[in-house]
Amino acid sequence: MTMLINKYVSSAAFALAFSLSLAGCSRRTSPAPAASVRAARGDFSVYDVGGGWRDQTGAVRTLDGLRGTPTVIALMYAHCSSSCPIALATMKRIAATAPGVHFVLVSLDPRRDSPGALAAYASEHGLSSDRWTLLSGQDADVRALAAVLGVRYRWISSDDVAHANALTLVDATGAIVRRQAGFDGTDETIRAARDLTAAAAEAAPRIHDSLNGISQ
Amino acid sequence: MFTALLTITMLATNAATPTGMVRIPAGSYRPLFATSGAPARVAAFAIDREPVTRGEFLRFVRVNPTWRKSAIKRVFAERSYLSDWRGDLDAGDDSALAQPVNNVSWFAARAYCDAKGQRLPTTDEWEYVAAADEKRRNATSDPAFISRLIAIYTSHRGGFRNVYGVDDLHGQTWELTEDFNSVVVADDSRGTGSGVDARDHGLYCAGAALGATDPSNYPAFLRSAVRAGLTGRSATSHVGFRCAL
Repeated sequence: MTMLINKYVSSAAFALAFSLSLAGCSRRTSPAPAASVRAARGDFSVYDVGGGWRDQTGAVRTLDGLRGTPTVIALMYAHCSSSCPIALATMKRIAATAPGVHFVLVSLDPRRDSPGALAAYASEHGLSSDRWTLLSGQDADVRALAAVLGVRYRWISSDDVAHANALTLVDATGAIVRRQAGFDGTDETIRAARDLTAAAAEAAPRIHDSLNGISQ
Repeated sequence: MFTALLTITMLATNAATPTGMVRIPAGSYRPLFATSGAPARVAAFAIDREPVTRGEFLRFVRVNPTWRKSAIKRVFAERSYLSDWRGDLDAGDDSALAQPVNNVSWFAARAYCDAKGQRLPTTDEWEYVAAADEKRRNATSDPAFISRLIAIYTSHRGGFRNVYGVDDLHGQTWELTEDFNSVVVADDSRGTGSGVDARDHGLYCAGAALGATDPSNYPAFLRSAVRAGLTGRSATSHVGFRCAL
């Protein structure tokens, strides 16, 4: 058995290494792990990862505080000039067509992206604070959140971070509903986001009641 | 005067290195996927002499119940977490307790090190130490060393104590690093370019990082591939960790 596992691990690593060696710089959208995401829903919340954060107003924020609204989460940084503007444009398109969805942008460069820098970025791009939360945190917390979202990143110069252009759509509890890797598949993300807000609207009175129950 | 200073420095260094850890001097090494020709600098640090054992991890979950296999939040580990344990606090007999802990997730490994006031080593730190054999700090240009590592990875036997005094970096387990998710693969490109030639994209495309600096260092390539296959919650056999400081 152990031998088999060894073989499996070794051959899996070999296959991975091989695919890495063939990999170019494509726009391939990786298939979302739909089955595993479904299986994990209910007791899986990206917000459980925790950490200490500040938003663009300088206010201290927790990830738990983001619960309650379907949300699109992305990692980026303000001075990223290559693909981040396209990622932002994609999110704005989702924002325009799926009202009720919230957006959280987490900085991969918290040293430069102070709350003030994020506020300037939000203002420059017309991101209103009622729908857009821009977060800056410690490196360790950013890495943890990136790990949960499956976003790989690496500093490739003093200015630039190579990172995945991944958008993650979570429901009100923080369960991952859809992960969009790259810029293809935005229509499906919009559909999924609208489904979530529609479901939330139906369930709203019930959630409201239960929240009242908790607060009493 | 000089001797006195030196003695004080040595005492300070010794005092800063906890029992069971080995002090690693600063140096440089050439990352497998260097983006420029320059080697990476690694500052002095300390690393566990041995991988964390099941017994040590058992003591951690005893005092940190949220990391027990029945209690851990799903975001921090998949269901195979500690799957080779019979229960929350039953990690096996004495010989099992002496084995490196496996089936731990990156989140759990981090929490373990954090609880000791330590951290996971960075990939650069780990690879820097792992370049050594018994006598040389960097043995990676020696084909015999490369062949030996491949034999170890294939059999999961034959670990050794390297020149720094660190045991079994190459042995039973692949080891987790803090920035394991810095292995950037093809579809993580920041660019939207054609992808015809990764190198053309230079800084703007992570794919450029795929130009390995030393294609003959197959073991380093394998380790990189293993890291690329992990998520923060993966809990896999033959994946363990050690802490750094």
